[in-house]
Amino acid sequence: MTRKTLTIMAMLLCTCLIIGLAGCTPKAPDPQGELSAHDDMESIIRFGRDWPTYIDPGVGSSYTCQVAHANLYDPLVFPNTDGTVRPHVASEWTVSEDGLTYTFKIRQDIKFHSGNLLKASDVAFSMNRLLTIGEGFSHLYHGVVKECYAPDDETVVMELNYTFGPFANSLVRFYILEEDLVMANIDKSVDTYGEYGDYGKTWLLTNDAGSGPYKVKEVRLEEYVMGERFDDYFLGWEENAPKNFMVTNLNDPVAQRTAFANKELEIARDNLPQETYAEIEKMGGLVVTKSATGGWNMMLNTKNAPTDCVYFRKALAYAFDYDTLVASILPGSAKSTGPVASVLFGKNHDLPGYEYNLDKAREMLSKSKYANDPDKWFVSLAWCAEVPEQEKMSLMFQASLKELGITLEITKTPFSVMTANAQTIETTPNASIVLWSPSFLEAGDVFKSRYHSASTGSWEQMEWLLDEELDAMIDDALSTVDNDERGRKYRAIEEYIFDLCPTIWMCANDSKFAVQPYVEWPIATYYKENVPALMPGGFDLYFRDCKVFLDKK
Amino acid sequence: MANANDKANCQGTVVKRDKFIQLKRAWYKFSLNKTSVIGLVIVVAVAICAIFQPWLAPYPHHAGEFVDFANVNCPPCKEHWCGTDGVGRDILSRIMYAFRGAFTLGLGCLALVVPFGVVMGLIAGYHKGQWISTFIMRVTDVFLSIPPLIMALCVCAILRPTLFNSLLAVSVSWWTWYCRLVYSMTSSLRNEMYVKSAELTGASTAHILFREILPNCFGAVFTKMTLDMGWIILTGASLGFVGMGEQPPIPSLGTMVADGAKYIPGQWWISICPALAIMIIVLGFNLLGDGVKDMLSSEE
Repeated sequence: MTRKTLTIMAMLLCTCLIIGLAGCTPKAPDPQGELSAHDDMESIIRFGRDWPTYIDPGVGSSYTCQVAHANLYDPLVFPNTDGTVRPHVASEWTVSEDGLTYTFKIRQDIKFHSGNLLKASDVAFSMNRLLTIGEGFSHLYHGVVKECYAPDDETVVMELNYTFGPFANSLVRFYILEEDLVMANIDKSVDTYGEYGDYGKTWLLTNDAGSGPYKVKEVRLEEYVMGERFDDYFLGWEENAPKNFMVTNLNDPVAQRTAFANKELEIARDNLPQETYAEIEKMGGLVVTKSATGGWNMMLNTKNAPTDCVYFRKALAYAFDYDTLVASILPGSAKSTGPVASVLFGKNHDLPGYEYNLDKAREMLSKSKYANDPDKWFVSLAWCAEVPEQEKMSLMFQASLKELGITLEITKTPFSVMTANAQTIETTPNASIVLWSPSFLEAGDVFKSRYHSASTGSWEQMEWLLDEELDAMIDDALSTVDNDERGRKYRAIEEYIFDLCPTIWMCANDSKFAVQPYVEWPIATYYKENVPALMPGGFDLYFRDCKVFLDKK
Repeated sequence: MANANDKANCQGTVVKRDKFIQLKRAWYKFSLNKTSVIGLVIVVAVAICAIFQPWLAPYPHHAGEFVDFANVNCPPCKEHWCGTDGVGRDILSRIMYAFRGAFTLGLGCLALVVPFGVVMGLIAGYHKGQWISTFIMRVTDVFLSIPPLIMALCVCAILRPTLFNSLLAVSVSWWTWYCRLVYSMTSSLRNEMYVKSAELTGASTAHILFREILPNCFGAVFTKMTLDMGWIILTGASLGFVGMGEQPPIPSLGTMVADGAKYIPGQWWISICPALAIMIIVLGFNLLGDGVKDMLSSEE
């Protein structure tokens, strides 16, 4: 081989490798290609974020799983946009005087996708299955529900172990499955759940047993879940409602933008870089900001040095530049003043919130037990690899802490690794940035899921508070039926947590979404017109309420 | 006595002149290939940037803990020749700083793998047919069967992602190529007359390996080293691209390409500029390596 040939080959190889490196972004699946094989596929809403691994409501709990659940199944009660709930599968309910027995009347006109009528026994079966499996949103009812049974086809009784104030609100996460269908598809070759085998978990990975507005049409593992309209849905259909929906693993910002430009994506996900939203807006997309029910949290490990010292944690909280965050990194977001979002029931509006003040940070640092030991001023921070904006937050924080002489080591960590690291105190970093939203719209869920000892060892609480006094306060508040009293207790708890400063409450999760101009998405309309609208995760993408105008496509 | 000194001085001068002529001849042969000269110029320029970055870079502090949200995503302009990134840092300054990491990785890796690989190759080649040779070469085969990038990724995933660990990770699989190269040369050179003569005169194995055989392998090893620099830097960039290289805020070319990829095509400069920098540095070393190879082969 001549020298010239070798040189040319080397140059070509280098160019290919560099172009390859630059272009090594995850390849977007080709939903349009897949869809073209189907009829009637134009009337579709596609949403890309991640693949909803568990469309079984007894198992899944991630955001895209919640989206799939809300569209494939019916919950016992349905959330309103003001944070309250309304009858849905349960047409009405009564609570006993002691607050321990809930009696639900079940609608008799609801059909499952199989064509069978929904009965009270299906409701009881679904609750017992959820509690037995112990995954998904079972933590909301585990220990609370003592017994669930159906005395007749129209009535379901739930007896509680103790009074649980927000019980009715929490039932938006309780979906009904068809007992006969699930039981016909259980895998008895395994005995995970005794006589129930696998309780239908394997079958429900790719099938549904629900009565929701959509039924599963196709599940391609690791890629997407596609649902088609269930024509016999008990609430009926309006004109232009989408005939299909798809939740795909289309996650990468470049892939999202490209799919949006090609009209292969109707709703672009939250937490894309601001630059991507700007480009989508240029394409004619409607970018809306969703009201926050949760927030951006920098969870501080309260058991590992140096973040085990409350003054050190407060120094960190005062060294975070909240104004720049909401002005430049997450424009449109509101600052947080504590663990509870300002729109949730039970929020303590008297809390001042932490502010960016390096003098105060130095003062706190001087009170810290590590004040005279600068060698220990080393903080490890993990940011979630799937959310690019978190790197900017980390770098900004790193630059601030440098002013104080604190070393911040930043590590880009995939969420799966973050979850694994959260399982022990030792492997949990000093700080972890996590976006968190409550399961139902009350401060009680924030406290129970984020700061109660029961949630340690999960990604939801990397603070490792393990504070018995706080646990008792939370349990007491949650068992209070009277709303005013419960609200008062919530406010006291928030103040208590605020003083411990286990978290840097960076800002509210006023996430942006983008929607195609030919799609009408009621929630987006609310957001655009600044109408207060709160929906638990998943229900904000309730596709039945959307419209697709094919003539505008 | 004076005569003896004069004679020694005269001989020294002749030796120096011979070396100078040899060097001149080598340079002449090297410079015959213009692309090799371009390669040398690129490598020298990059090395100067890497060494004198604090003085040459327009914004040296942008390579550290620095953010400037007033200047984010600024396209290439007079103030920022390569533009700024998503947190307002000057990309050119960061590229120049990243060159330092790339050079450290390349040189550090070669400093580890070449001595080890060469010694292993010498031993295996000289003792060809014996158990020690079989053992070394089979271990080499095992390491060669694993793609270097995959191996490096595994090592980096186990250790903390830092420049030093990237260096170790790349080195783990890279020594095998030197071992193979020197093994094949040694197994042929060991039958040469001068080696046999040394054996007959009772020279030690170490003497034969390091004084008789090794000098004859220098040319090939040196050529490979020059060519490998580019590949090692590219492997390091690949590690950085998947987040296993230097961690923020320390600039790394691969990390910069990855960070900018999500803004393509809108803010193309964030990714393309460091990608071009990788291309230039790899190209420079490859062209230089070509020239060195030609120079040494023509001398032989």
